[in-house]
Amino acid sequence: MPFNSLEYFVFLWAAVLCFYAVPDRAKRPVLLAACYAFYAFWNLHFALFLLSATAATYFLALRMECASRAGEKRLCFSAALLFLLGAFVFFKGLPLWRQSFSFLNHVAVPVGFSYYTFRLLSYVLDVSWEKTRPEKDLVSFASYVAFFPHLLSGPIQRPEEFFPQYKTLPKIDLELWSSGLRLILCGLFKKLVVADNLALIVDNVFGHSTQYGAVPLWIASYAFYLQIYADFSGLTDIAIGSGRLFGIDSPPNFNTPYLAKNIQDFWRRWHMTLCRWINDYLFLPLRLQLRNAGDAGMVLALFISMLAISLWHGLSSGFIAFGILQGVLISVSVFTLQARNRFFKEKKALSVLRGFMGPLVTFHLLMFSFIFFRCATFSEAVGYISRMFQGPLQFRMLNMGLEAKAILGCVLALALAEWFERSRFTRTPVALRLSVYYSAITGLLMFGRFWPKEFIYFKF
Amino acid sequence: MPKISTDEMNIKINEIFRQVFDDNSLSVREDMTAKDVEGWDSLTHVNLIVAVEKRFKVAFSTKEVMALRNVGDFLRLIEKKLGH
Repeated sequence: MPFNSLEYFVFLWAAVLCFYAVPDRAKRPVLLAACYAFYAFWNLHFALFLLSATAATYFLALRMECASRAGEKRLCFSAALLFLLGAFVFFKGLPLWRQSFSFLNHVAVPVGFSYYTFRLLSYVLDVSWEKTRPEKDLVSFASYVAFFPHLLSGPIQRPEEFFPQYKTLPKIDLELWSSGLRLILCGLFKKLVVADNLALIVDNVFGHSTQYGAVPLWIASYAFYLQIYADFSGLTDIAIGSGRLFGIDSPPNFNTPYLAKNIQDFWRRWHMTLCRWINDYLFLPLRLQLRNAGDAGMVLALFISMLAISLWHGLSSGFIAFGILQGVLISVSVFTLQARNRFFKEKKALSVLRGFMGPLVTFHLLMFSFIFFRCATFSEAVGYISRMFQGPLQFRMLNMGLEAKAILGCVLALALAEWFERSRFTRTPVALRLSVYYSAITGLLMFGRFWPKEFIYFKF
Repeated sequence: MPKISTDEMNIKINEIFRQVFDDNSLSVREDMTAKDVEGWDSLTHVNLIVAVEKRFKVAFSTKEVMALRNVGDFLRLIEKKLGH
């Protein structure tokens, strides 16, 4: 039941209707039942695994709180960490383990596993650091882990963000409802009109890169950088929008990442809930442990964090290369930032240029980095990039799958979708508001690719 | 280290904040969080911790630092470490 399928929307509206139709005391159990029914539609075994991971974390966290001896507390913490991290490494490395153990061919990776494991891990760490008290109500806790709009693709919400909203259910906030519906429309537009049209070029050129000249390779690499954003932010929009229909809001996952002025700024704007997780639960503790190791400690903490972000997607040479590359780029950026600030403070005339060049350079560094993300292996990505710099530079668009004006149309559509998403429509005249909705729906029907093309981030 | 008064400690803390965040107009408040100070991210957060440790000759554990929610929590932690 992917988010771009008719089945999802039938299920979503059925769940919303049931949720608001039942008496208040039954709303929370109904919501939890809907979450598990949604997951069981994918695979019953996945739902059973989710239930066991939830139950194990719930009881271990409660034991941690009640434990009178430090040793017992440490034991519960270690058991929870070992269970969650062990399962994470097992499922993430499944393609690798299958090469040695053929019986693992029958084991499937649970959909959305990376997202809910990180939700459970942050809960265990927060309880251990005494930042939060363990949740005593099992229905509330299970709903936090399995909340179906966020289950398969995030955002990775924190306990302190979810529980206060959940406890006040069912409050009907019409503003939240309408903004949720707007987000769903925006997400579908980004996915069906922008991402799936750009996918035609990306799949063609990346799939047969040796047959194309430098210009199509450049165009496809720009197209992929736009596609992955439209695809993933579209997915997140539908997830957050669906959550709002139940009165649960979530922190944003993207903040205009193409405008990032340097690499560290980019990682504050891209997949924000995952980066925030890595920052708070990995980088910061690691950096604190290594604080007396000087610059080497800083570089090590940055490298490990960037590798973790990368390997969260899977254990492949392309993702490892992506992580190492980000580690290099962010280290250089962090260590030269002070010098760059001083330089531009002295040369005020050049500051305007910096405002323009910073985002442009960052955009291209990331555009090249995402080639490693798209290619199956490191060597394939290196081959792709080297062919981008081999002439002749002929402007032939043969068999790319999309005409030049359609590519420009996708860029324009993405910019409009961004504006649409960020605009607050409360003060906009009704005629203008309706025109925008009408145009978005017409654009969706005219240019949308209505085939069941999977979201890129569903496989993580 | 000789015992210092709370006022003296607050003045020193303020100096450290100004130095770490390179802002001479900064005045710390108990309810202040990272969101209120420009440039206060995870990178500068560790610089702040190290600067305070050096100035007051104290050491914080990872758990103590991770449990901090605002400047007030940080001030109380420093006071505790200094034996106030």
